[in-house]
Amino acid sequence: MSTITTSPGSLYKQELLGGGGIASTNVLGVNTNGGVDGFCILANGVIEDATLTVGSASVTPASYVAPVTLTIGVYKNLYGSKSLVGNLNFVINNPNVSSNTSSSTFQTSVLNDVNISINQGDIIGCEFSGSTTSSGISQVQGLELTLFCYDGAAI
Amino acid sequence: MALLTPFVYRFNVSVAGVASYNPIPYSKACIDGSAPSGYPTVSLNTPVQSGGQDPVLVPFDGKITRMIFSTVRCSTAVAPPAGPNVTVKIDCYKVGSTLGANVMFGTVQFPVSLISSYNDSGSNQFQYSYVSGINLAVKAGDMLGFVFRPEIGTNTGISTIGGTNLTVEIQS
Repeated sequence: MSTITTSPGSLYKQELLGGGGIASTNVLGVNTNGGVDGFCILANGVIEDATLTVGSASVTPASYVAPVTLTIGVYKNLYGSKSLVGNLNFVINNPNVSSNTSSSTFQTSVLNDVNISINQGDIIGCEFSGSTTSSGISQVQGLELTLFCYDGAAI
Repeated sequence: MALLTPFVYRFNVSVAGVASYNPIPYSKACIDGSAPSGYPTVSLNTPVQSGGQDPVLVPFDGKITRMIFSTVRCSTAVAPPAGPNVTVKIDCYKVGSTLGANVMFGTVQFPVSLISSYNDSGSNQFQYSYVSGINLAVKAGDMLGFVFRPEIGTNTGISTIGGTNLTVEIQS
C-alpha cells in the first residue's frame, strides 16, 4: 500500500483483490470473496482515476464473449457500517483467450474521471462485485486495483 | 539522493491488533466495522505484544510530515467521558541491519475521542486523529516500522482496540 507522486498533496494508492491467500474469486460473486483492507484518507480530495489488472482467469474459450465488465465497489466506513459511494466498472479485454482455460490473461483496464469525493478521516475500502454475466469466465484471481487519489477538487 | 522536484510518498499500515511483522490478513471488518475477526485486539494497558506491521521502505530522503490514525473499534469497561479519551502513541522505528537492532527515532501522539460509547461494550468507535507539523527525518533505504505503545498504568476506561489504520506522509 504505497504512494508516490511528483505533485505534493496527491495520492497514488495500490491494493490487491483476490490475493493474499484468496486463491480465486467467482466472477459472478458479489462481495463474498476478494476485498481490500480499508485505508485512512489523509486530506480531502477525490478518487480521480483507477486501473484494474487481472492476474489470471479461468475461461471457456468457446463461451467467451467480449467485452466483460467487472465491477469494484468503493465503500466508506461509517463507524459501524459501510456506505457504497461508487462503482468502478472496468471493461477487461483479452484479444487472444488462451486455450489453457485456467491461465488466460487480460489487458489492464483503465478508468479516468472517476471523481469520487473523499474526505480526511474516511476509511476507504473496495470490494469485488463481479460481473452481471458469465461471459465464459468462471474464476478470476490476482486482481490488482490502483486508485489515483488527489487532494482538493476534481481535476 | 538529490531531487529537483518535491516528492510526496504516502503509505498505509496497521499498527495494533495484528500480529507483529506478519502480513495483514484480509478482513472486511476494517471497512464495515463488523466483528474484527481478522484483527485481534490489543490491550491499551499492558505491554504490547502484537502491535506492528511489515516494514516500509523509504524511497527518497525527506521527512515524515503528517499522519492520520483511526481504529475500527474499541472496548470500554465503563462509559468514558466526553472529549479526548485517550492519547494513542505510535513509536516510529528504523529497522536495523541485525535482528533486535531497531532504532526508535520518534513518537507521534494522537489524541482520540470516542464517537459512540456504551458501558462494557466492544463496539465503540474512535474518531480519527490527524497530526500535522511532524518533522522526523528519514533517508532513502530506511526501513520504517510503526508500533503501537500502550498506556501502561493509565486507566482510560478503554480496554482494547482493534483494526487500527495509520496513513503516513513523507515529503522530500
